[in-house]
Amino acid sequence: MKLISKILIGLIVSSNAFSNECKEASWSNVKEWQKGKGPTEVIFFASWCSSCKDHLKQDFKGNVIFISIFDERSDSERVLNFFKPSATCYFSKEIEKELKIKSLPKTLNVDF
Amino acid sequence: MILRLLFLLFMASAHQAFACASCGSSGDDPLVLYPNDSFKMLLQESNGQGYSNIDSHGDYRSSGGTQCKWTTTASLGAAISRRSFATITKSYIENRRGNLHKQGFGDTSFAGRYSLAMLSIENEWSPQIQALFGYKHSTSQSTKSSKDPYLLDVFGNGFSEIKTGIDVWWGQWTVKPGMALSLVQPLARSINGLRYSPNLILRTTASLSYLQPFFVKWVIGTTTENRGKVKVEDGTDQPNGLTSSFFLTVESMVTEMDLARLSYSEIGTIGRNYNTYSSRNLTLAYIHSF
Repeated sequence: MKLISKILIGLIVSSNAFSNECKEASWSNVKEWQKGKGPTEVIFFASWCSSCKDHLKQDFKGNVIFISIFDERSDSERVLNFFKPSATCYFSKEIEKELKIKSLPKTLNVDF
Repeated sequence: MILRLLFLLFMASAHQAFACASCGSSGDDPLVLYPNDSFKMLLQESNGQGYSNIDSHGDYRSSGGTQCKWTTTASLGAAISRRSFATITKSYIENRRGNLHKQGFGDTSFAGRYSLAMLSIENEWSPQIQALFGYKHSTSQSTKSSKDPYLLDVFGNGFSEIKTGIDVWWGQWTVKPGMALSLVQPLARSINGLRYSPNLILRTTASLSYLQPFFVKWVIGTTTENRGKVKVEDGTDQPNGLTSSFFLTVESMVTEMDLARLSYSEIGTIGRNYNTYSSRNLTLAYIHSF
C-alpha cells in the first residue's frame, strides 16, 4: 500500500514537474511558490521570440523556471509542449511591468 | 571608407539579441513594433545623391532639379494590441542644387499593421503575416504646383494616398526570406484648376535577412514600383512608370531598448526603369523603445 502511495505521489509530483501548463502568476506569487528553492535561473520567453528557442532547448543544471510574457497563454503552452523542458512554467501579463522587462530573450538569476 | 567604418561600428555596438528576428520585411514602413513594444520612436537622417531622370525608353538623363536631398524623418509608434500597432511619420526635407537650397515639410503618413499570423518557434516553417494599412496626407508642394525653376520646393508627389498590403516572412533560419506587397491608391484632386486622377501603384518588396551570431541583422532586398498613369483633365495624361531599386540594411541592437540601422539603397538603378528617376541614398536611423 505504501509503495502504491509513493508511486502515485511520485507520478503526481513528476507530472507537475514536467507539466507543460503555464500557471498564471504575479511576481509575488512566483516568489512565494519558489520560496526556499535557492538559486534559480528564471527564463522569460514568448512563443514568437525566435531567439528564445535556444533557452528552451538546452539541458538544465540546477533550478530553472520559465515565465511566459508578452504572449498568449495558449501559444506559450503549445511551444512548451513541443520543447518539453523539465521545469515549471508561469504565465503573466504583469511580471513584465513589475520587473520592467522590455525585451526578449531575458534570463535572471534569483535566489528564492 | 565611411560605409566600412559605419558597418564595423555596428558590429561592435551589438549588445542584445533580436527578440523577433522576423518582424517585417523592411517594406514600406520605417518603424515596426515587435509584440513586446508599447511605444517606439524613430529618428532618421537620409542623404540622397546622384539624381537622374529616366525617360520612357529607359534612358538616364541628368536631372534639371535637385542634385542632393537631406531628409530628416521622425516616427512614433504605439501598440494597439499584441498583434497590432499604429505609427505616424513626418519628414523635413532639404533639396539642394549647387549653392541653392530649399527646405520644407514632407507629407504626413499614418500606418498600421495587424499580424494575421504570428511566427511560433516550435515550427520553423511558420510564417509571420502582417496586413498593412496606411494613409498619407498630402500637404507639401509637388511638381504640379512648384514655383521654383529647379523644383527645389518639391517635397511630395501632390497626392494623398491610401494603402493596403501584406508583409510575409518565413521561418526561423539564419537566412530568412520575406516579401511585402502594397497597393497604393493616390486620391484624385484638382491643382491649379486641373483635375488629376492617378491610377493604382503596386509596390513589391522581396528580401533576404541574415542574422549573425553576434546580434547584427543584415537585410538585402529589391523593391519594384509600378505606377499607373495619371489622367489629367486637359488630356495631357502622365504616363505610367516603373522603378526598380535595391537596398542593403544592417541593424544592431545597441541596448535592449535601442536599435541602430544603416541602409544603403539605389533607386531606379537595377532591372527595367522608365518614366521615373534614379538616386543613391544612405540612411542612418536610431530607434528607441519606451
